[in-house]
Amino acid sequence: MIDLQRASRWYGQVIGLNDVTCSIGPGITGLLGENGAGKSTLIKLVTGQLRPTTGTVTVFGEAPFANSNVLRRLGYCPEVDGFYEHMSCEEFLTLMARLSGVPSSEGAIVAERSLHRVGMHDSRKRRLGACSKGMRQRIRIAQAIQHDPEVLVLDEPMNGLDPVGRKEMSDLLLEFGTTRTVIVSSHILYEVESLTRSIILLHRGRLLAQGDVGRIRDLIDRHPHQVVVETDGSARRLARELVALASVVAARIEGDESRLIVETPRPDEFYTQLRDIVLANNIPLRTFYSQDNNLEAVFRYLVTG
Amino acid sequence: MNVIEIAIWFLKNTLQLRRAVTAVLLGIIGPLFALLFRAFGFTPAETYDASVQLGIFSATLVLAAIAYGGGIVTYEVVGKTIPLLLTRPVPRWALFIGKWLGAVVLTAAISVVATVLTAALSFGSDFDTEVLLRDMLVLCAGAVTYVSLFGLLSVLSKRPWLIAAIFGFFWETWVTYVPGDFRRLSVMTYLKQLSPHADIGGQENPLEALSEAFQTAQIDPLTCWNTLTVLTILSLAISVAVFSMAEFLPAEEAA
Repeated sequence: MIDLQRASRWYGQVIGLNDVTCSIGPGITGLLGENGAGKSTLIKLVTGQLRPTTGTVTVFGEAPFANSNVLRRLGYCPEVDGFYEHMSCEEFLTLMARLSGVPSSEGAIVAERSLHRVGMHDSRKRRLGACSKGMRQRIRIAQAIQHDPEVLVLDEPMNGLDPVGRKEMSDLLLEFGTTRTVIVSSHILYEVESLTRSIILLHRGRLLAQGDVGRIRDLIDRHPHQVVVETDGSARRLARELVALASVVAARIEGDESRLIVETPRPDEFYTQLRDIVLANNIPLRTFYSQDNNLEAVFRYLVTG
Repeated sequence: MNVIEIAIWFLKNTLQLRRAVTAVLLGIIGPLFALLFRAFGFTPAETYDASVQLGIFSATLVLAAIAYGGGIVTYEVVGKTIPLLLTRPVPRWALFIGKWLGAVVLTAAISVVATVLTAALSFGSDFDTEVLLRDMLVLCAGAVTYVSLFGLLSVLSKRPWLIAAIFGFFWETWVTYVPGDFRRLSVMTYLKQLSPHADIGGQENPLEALSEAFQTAQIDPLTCWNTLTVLTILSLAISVAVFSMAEFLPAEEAA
């Protein structure tokens, strides 16, 4: 369905993608790599925003660049935060539906349906400029899926979403991926792993590995995953609870009593336990996120052999 | 989505509340000149001629064309909305022509409304309909030509507004004073030939008088219309060709 043959893309003197050959078929494929690894370049080649400098990129057997036949069957969720800010969510999605080839009589219906799908129906009249980061991300996903594309390409779709939002969008993408081709890029392995076992790993523009995520997971387990947890001054109390867990190998408090860095080789298990502990002990949690150092370590491991 | 729908969307998008202020400000330049000239005791005819020439042809028309024509592609690049458009199955030529059409309609509408207001403020209800219609027609032609030129700049350059402003306010003014036929390289020359207006108080600008001494005969109207048409078609054709083949990324990614 999507085929790259020795595809390279240069930006002047800088290489964005270097001699990549791979095929992507039905189901969800995770595109994994650090910032600057070439994920977005690959996505732009597949979605017809860029042409390869050398090699070929085909989608449904055709070059996608400015190709209406390909673009009609493709949905794209960009990473950049660009919107027509004065439009309401509903107006924007109706416009995007029309631009995607949905007939004018169905534009508003399709928009309404997609608002429901991403949990934004209650905010449908809200101006995009007044939407939170998470809401804007949901709308970006909605505009990509609303015309029911055969191929869905999402560039860092979980950015800006809270844990509930991530779960909802993951479920949506999992449902979508059962019958279609979905490419999801991320620099967080855990995020991709919750969606698929099939990954493409990029590093400095080169294809480092393609296949089952288990192989990467094995490497990850040797390099503990760092999670930053921010609380309202309860870091020490939380650390006391967390170090007792088998999934936590280290925890340290940084700065004041509000920031805790936890190292865990099993992030999925850790996140579940963190939720339980926070609820059971009524600890005010401000935010938590992966520092992603683990992925960097895996890349170093793979590159240096 | 067809060209007309894209044009309507462009108009709606551009005339939403905050941005409509720009259109209103552009539209009141001519009428403000008219009020000023009337206050200084100029005759209705002098007021109209000077206001249309200085306020509408040289300011409103050019500024509106810079703002809307120069923004056809640039606005999407700067606003980072360009990927949303270029990953859709709408042909790129239709996207460009639709937005171009919207920009032409808006530029022409602002200029025409400003001219009618200026005429009303200059003459009251007793104005020369023939002159007014001629001015409105030439302004529409000017809108088509300028928007096409500045639309081309928006496809070719990352800073179309700056280049268009230099062209519109420096080149277009000063090239008419250069002796010889350099004035033929200015769009405004053709517009002024098609829609001549007397100078304020009947006094010719000394620079203009000097340059006219070295110029060949008047440019006939047919040549003016042909030149404007050729310029428009050429600009549009190049714009559509480049927009269909070139890569456009959001501002921060292209940097």
